[in-house]
Amino acid sequence: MPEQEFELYLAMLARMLRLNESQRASVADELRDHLETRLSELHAAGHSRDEAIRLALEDMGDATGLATRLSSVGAIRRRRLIVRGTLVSACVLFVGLLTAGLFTPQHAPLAPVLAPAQAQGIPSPPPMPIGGDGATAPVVASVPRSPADDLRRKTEAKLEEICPTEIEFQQVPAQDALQLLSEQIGLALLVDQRAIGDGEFVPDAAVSLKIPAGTVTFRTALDLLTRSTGSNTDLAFVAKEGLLYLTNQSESLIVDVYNVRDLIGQAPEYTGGAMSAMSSMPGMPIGSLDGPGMMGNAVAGPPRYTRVQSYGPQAAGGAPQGPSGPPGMAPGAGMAGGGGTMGPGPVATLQGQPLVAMIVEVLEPAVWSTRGGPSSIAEVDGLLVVRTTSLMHRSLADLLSKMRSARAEGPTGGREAVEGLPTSHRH
Amino acid sequence: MPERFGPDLLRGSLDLMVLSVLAQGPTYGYQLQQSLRDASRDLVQVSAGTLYPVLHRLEDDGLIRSSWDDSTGRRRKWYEMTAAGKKRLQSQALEWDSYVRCIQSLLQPWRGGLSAPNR
Repeated sequence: MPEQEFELYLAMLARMLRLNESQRASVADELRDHLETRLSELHAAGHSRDEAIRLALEDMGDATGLATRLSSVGAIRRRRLIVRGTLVSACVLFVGLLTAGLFTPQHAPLAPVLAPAQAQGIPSPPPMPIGGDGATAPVVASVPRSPADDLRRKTEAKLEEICPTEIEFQQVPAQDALQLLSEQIGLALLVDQRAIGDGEFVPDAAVSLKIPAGTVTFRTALDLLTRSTGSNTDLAFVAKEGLLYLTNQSESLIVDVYNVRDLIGQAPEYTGGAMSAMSSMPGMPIGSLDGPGMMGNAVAGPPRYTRVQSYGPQAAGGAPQGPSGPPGMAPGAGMAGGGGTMGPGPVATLQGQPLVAMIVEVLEPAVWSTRGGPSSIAEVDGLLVVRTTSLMHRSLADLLSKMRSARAEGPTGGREAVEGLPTSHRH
Repeated sequence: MPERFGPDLLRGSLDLMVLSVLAQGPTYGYQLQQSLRDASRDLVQVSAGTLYPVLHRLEDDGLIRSSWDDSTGRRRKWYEMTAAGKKRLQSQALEWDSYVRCIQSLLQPWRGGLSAPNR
């Protein structure tokens, strides 16, 4: 009877073997025989099943090292490859694989989006229109996302996890090290050939790196790995749906919308202009806004805002690729990255300008259109519309979350929200 | 006397040890590991993770050959020595003897009460 733990170990080992299919199968068969024989012996000696399995695997040693030694047999090597992982790392990874196998992941694709809300101690809002409590979270989707979008978010969420195992490479070719690390993460990796062609990523460059367990996210570990080869800092790991793509080409820009009414106060005027402008944009369902966040308006039937579907650059067909004008100004065409026709210009909310200006100043100033960069940001009617890389979106969401937390704490450890008064904000 | 020989000592001689066990007859990985332990009274404890790459390398070098046995219901890989392996064992064993004598004479001044080896 095949033991599940052994099969997981052997599967992990097989994936790392640089051998052909039949050689991998042979190795697995041989080692399986050894493990099972050892298991029987340990059982007979009175060990519990778990203990026996642990001891049997301990004797086999860490899969990474073993895979390397087995792979190097017969190969002509120019350089000595040593990849060491600790036994603890192998066991932790092992338990992780087991757990992942037991709980087929069905985690909500909304999880990363809900995190900021939870961080502020607000119970995760149901995927319904925001408002009610003042709409503090950067929105929850009530519009189903595309499978591709879901996959991308899952991949990005995976990258943000803390790496539980120690990482150690000694003089390993960069391509091999990346492959091993991405397999540990559980993501398929593809290296953009252009990055290699341009010389920015050298697959054979020797990598020596040691990172203790539990100290960095997978993303940071990958970055450190590429940096340790002396590679150009233009290299970026981009989540392409379920694939991890290492490229030196500028990352695709994505448009997302953030409700920041709580941060900038409420616009004194509201007209239907913004609504029709919004409703003319593809993928932007408009609904009504409930609760104190709603502004006094003359439009019959308060509009309901829901999460705006983020869409990639292909939807921004008509948008200017260059600078979209000064941030904070929200003329009709100022919806950065937007496509389609715009309605009558929405009211520029003056309170929004300082927020946008602050963001541009604080978050990677060089990337914004005002400084000649590819990213753009505009505020319309309490909504921040931002076209930038997924990494920048994360930084922005993080910044907004921190601002909300800081506001909630206040200088005296908490201050009552006073209705009707604009909230102060930092420049 | 150590509980077991350290990896530094074993590193240079593992091939020799494995070949010497195989010279006694065909065996498989697990049994070979056990034989080394038994023959050395537990002084030689080679982990499976160390042993199998050595076996594969020796096979790759043509010093041993393998065959599969399915008769027990579980696939088991057996190894046996080749003619080339036997030759290698003989030459290595001689070389090893000289090596040991050389080391012993170098260590002579440091051996305290131990008697000098016969040359």
